Order: sequence, then C-alpha cells, then structure tokens
Amino acid sequence: MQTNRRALLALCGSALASFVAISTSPVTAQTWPDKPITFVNPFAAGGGTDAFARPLAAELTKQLGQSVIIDNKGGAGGTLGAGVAARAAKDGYTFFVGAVHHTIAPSIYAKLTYDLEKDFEPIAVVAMVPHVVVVNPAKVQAKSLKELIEFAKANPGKLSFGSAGNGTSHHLAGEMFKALTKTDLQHVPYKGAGPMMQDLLGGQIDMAFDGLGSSASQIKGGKIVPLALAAKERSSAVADVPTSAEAGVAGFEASAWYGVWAIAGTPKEIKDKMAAEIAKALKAESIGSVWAAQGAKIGPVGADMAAFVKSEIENWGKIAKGANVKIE
Amino acid sequence: MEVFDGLALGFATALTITNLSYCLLGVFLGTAIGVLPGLGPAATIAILLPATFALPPVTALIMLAGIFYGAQYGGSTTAILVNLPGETSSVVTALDGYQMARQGKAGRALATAAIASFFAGTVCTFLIALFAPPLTEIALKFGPAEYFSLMVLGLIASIVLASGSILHALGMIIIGLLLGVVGTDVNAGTQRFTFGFLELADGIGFVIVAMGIFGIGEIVANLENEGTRDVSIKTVSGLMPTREDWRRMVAPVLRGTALGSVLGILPGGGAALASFGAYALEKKVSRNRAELGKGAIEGVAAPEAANNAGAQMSFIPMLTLGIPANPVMALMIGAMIIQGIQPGPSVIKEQPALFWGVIASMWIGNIMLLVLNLPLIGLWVRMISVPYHFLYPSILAFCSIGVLSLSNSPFDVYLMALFGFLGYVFKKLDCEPAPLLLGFILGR
Repeated sequence: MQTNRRALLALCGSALASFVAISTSPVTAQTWPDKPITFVNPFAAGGGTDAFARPLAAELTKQLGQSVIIDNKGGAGGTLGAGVAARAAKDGYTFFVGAVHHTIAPSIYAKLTYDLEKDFEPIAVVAMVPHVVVVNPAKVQAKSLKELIEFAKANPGKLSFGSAGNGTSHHLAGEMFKALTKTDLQHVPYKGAGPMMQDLLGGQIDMAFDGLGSSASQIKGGKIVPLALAAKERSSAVADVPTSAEAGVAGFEASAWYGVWAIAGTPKEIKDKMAAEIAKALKAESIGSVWAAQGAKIGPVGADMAAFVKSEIENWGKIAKGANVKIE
Repeated sequence: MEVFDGLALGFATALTITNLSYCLLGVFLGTAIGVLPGLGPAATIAILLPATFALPPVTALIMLAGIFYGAQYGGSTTAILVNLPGETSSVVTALDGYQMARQGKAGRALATAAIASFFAGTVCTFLIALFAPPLTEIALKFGPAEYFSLMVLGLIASIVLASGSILHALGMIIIGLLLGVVGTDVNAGTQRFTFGFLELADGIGFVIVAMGIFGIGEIVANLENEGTRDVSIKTVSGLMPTREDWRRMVAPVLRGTALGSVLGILPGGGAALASFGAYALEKKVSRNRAELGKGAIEGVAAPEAANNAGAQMSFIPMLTLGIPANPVMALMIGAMIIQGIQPGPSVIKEQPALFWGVIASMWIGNIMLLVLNLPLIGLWVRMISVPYHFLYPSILAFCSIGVLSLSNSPFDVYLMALFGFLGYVFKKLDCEPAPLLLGFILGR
C-alpha cells in the first residue's frame, strides 16, 4: 500500500509541475527562447484552429529547440480565450492563435473583454480556407450558381442553408451571398460544421457555404455538388470549381482563416524572430501536405495582416449589421 | 466475399509488431485516463496529436482509437469503486456498481463491467465490418422529427431511472433540463442563464455536473457519517462473477449491446444516451428489476455493454463519411489530415488497409483490454481499503486536476464544488441524481 500511495503522490506532483511550468523572468531577446512558448488557442481541443495550430506548433518546436505548447481555452465563440490572452505577459512567451471569428466578434457581441486591434499585434495569417457553395444534388436541381440563384428568386424562403452556428463565417458568408444576389434563403444554425454536414448529406438542409477543408472529400465522393468557390482564385483541391466571379457573383469572397498574434508590447526583436520562424515552418513538407489536404493557403503577414484584419472587421461588420446578427 | 477479404487485410495490417504495440499503448493510456476522473480521451488525444506525425497513418489511428475505447473501460472503475464516474458514459454504471462495491462485491462488479464491454465490443467490431456503409445511410435519414421523438422517449425513460418517489424524479428531470439549457441558444444566439459569466456561454460541462453531484456530494455525505465513511465496510467476497452472476448477466448484456449499437451510429449524444437507455430498459423488462438501484448485476452489465457498443459504433460516420460523431472523432479526423489523408467517403476504396486495419485493431484492442483489466481488479479493489483520510483528499485532488484540464479554467473547478454541495443537498432530500443527469443531457 505504501508504494501505491507514493506513486500517487509522485503523479500529483508531476501534474502540478506541468501547470507551473511558465513563470515570469526578465526578457532578453538574444537568448529567446530559453523556456517553453505558449500559444493560447481560444477554441476547444479538436476545433478547426487545432488542425492548423498543432502541426505548426510541432514544426516550431523542432526549429526553436523549445516546446511550443498549445493552450486550449475554449468558450464563447473564441472570445473568452482572447480575453485571457490579452492579459498575458508580453515577454514573448505567450502568443495568441486567433481566427476569422475574432474579426466577426466585434460586430455581434454586445461587449468584449479585449480589443483585437489594440491588445494584439499581428504576426501572420498562417492559413486561409475559402468557403464553397455546396448543394445536396438530391434536393437542389441547379447545376450552376446561376440556376441556383434563379431558383431561389422564383421560390423565396424555400431553400435552406446550414451553418456551424450563429455568427460563424459559414453563417455570415450565407448572409453575404443573400445580400449580393438579393435572394431569400433560410438559415439553419448547427452546433459545429460536423453536424451540419451530416444533415446536408442526409438532405435535411438544401445547401451550405461550407469551408473547403471539410467539403473537399464529400465533393470528391460525389455526395454534394460544388457550385462556386468564394475566392478570387481557383483552388488546386477542387480545380474544376469556378470562382464566384466566374460563376457570376463578383465580390462574393469569404474565407475561414487562422492567424498568430503577439501580445501588444512584446519586444520587436522577438516578434520579428517569431515571424521569421513561422515563415520558415510554413515551408516545411509536413505542413505543406496538411495545408493542401484542407485546401488552405498562406495569408498576409505583419503590416499586411494588420490591414487585412481591419478590412475584415469592417466587411463582416456591414454584413452582420445588414442581417441583424447578434449574440447577447 | 468482399468483407472477409477486407477483414483478412485488416488483421494482416493490425497484427504487425508495431501496430500491436501501439494498440497496447493506446488501450493502456485509455484505461489510465478513464480511471482518472475528469481527464477525458479528447484532451489526451489532442495532446498526443503532434506525436502521431512520426507514425504511419494506420498505426496512429490504431493508437488513438485504443485510447478512446480504452477510456470507456477505465471510466467504470472509479464509478463502481467510489461512485465517481470518470467518463460521461459511466454515470449509470455508478448507480448499481457502487452499491455492489458497498456490499463487498466490487470485484464482481468490475469483472462484469469488463466482460460486458468486451462482448459488446466484439459484436460491434463485426457489425462495423459487415454493415458500415448501409448503417451510415440509416444514420443520415435521422432528421429533426426522429430526434424529437428520441428526446421525448428519453424524457419518459428518465422517470424509470429513479427507484424512489416519482415526484422527486420529476423535479430532478426538470432541474436537469434547466441546467442543460444554460448557455448560448443555437437558433437565436441569445445567452440563457449565464448571469454575465462568459464561462457559461457554451453551457456547463457534463463531467463537471456528474463529478460534482455524484463524487463530491458522496464524499461530503460520507464524511458526515462516521460509521460508514470508510467505503470498505464489508470484506470483499470473490473477485470473479459467480455462476449465478453469469446467468443473470447474459440477457442484459445482449439487450445493452443491441440498444448501444443502434444509438451509437447517431451523431451527438448517442453513446451517452445508450447507457441511460439500457438501464431504463432493464428497469422495465428485467426479472430482477426490483433489485436495480440496490446493487443488481444487471444494472452494471446492461449499461456497460451499451456504452461500449455506442462508443464503437460512433466510429462508423467517421470511417465512412469523415464526419465526426463526437469531439474525439473530430480529433481522429484531425490526425488523418495531419497524415495527408482526407477523411471521407473515398477512404474505404483508396485506403483499404487503413479502414480495415483500424476495424481489426478494435477487436484485438478489446481482447487486450480484457486481459489487462481482469488481473487489475484485485489491485483496484484494494484501493477502497485505503483509509478515508487518505482516499478522499486524493480523489478531490484528482477531480480538480481533471476538471481543470477540460478547458484550463479555474471557473470549472468552482462550478464542480457548487455541484458537489448541490449533490449533498439532494442526498439529504432523498432526490436521486440520475434523472437529473439524463434531463441535463437531453436539455443540451
């Protein structure tokens, strides 16, 4: 029994030790990093962000010689974890992994505990996955985006589109489509993209503005039909799917994207070094295959990312306001 | 026969030394995290995900699958021994399992749980191999009307879960439903009963409620009563089921397996509903239904078979369509993506060794779990003879660490303490917590 108890205590001890791994110490950019780095991921383990953040963290760990730990702080559509990250030490050992959600949040939440543009400094958009208009062929006869719009105009409110939840980019991409094409589609929110796809395949809903990542394999399997990609350029993952402009709805562009931010006030040398390391990691072979499978591209970095974030906040704000999307 | 060719390929894949060792590692890890309350397979798999980079895809999936169904085995251990459900699915097992432990039948309860799980796992492996694609089609037909009917059935069945007053049970179901609707409304985006706490915006975690009300509440109530605060008041009689136990176990295991297989293919709360459903079914049809709730072996066998069947069947939508039925499956899909495999309908054709290898490994893993768990029973049973002033603080510490690991939020630990207090109050008022938990699941 004695040994059992000792083993139990040892286990407790090691578990505690891992929680207190990060303490504050004076920062010197020369020796950075000399202890593990934390990436605060504001979504639950296994969410969309994880699919990109975890391979990236693994690659950075290899490059930096220090562990890059993903700290999942899920809740409230990613705003809870963002609030926690905003108050983290700006010593270059905590970074924030945000997403398109954080540029939508300012217009749909009544109040937030952080300011995306003031509390964080952009490093890089590491992955951008375009949305794609997909329909269940058993429910919708349209063979092209034009036919779909014609049908929707002739039958207002008849077609339903699913989303991964209220205020997600799936939802707002749909609202953007409605506004651009002046059609009336019924929104059906789900608890995540998985259950939504299940119902799209089963024909409980007619169509969706899904992320290319989860749709690509269903498209290849022939269970759903893609009508247009909400992007400027075609994607090699589904090369024969026309862009929105080619299909006749110019300006319909929406991506689910994921980026890394530093906490505002982090030393510039460290930010630069992290930016360089991320750029290098994104060229690694292991990352390339993961990104390609998800139909993801690399996005703007540094100042370009700041401008991109600003325009995203504005654009999503207009759509959210027009469609009166709110979470309170 | 195509299926037998497939299975042959699967066993050839799964029976290599590498894959066997990772399967063993997976089920061992799974058992360990199942035993530790609060620590769930989702968090473990998320942490291990980058480590799977270096492994071949089949090996990685075999290990991760092992963690998942291993946790279903392990979760019942603490449920039976100290009334602390380690996993969602083992809440029901705690009802009769813990009573058996108090009567000195802990070993027999643990063995029953392991055997029932093994049987269900075996049946489901073959169901998946034979019928995965057609079963997927059935799951896709399940629309809003069907889910509504299922929930109504669940609400009616939850009354049956209680062995005491019907009025108390009704009250508990309603409290459970109300707790379940805490969080952001899916349709309107409105926040319900969050009282301004952002932490409540996604609702209350099931594990928090279950561990608080069952585990912590039980500890508080036990401490109050000096005569019974040591759990091992009776000497432990026999570790293995008796001939009578075997006889009583057969029908409930069969019924539990059938129900779990049906509910498991549905996305969402399928597996969690399975164990509740199986228990409710026993209450209606078992010959020994009067004993249920007082330590009947049927109350362990049926839900354990059902939850393992449900867990196994939840692989179907993931393997055939690439759609996750629960967060763990979402992580498995993530693991495939990391390997450059796009999960989806084409996996069976393009990656037959992966598809069949994982299925074959499930059966092998189930055998490993049985072999691993039966000898461990003697050790586990001794755990409850640890004096309460050592046992209870360690349980509290593990619960807190486990709950903290859910989303790294201290708020959840306070919430668990609150539910612990509620659990104590309910016990004093003679209100049984099982209907509350089923109401909670249905309310979500």
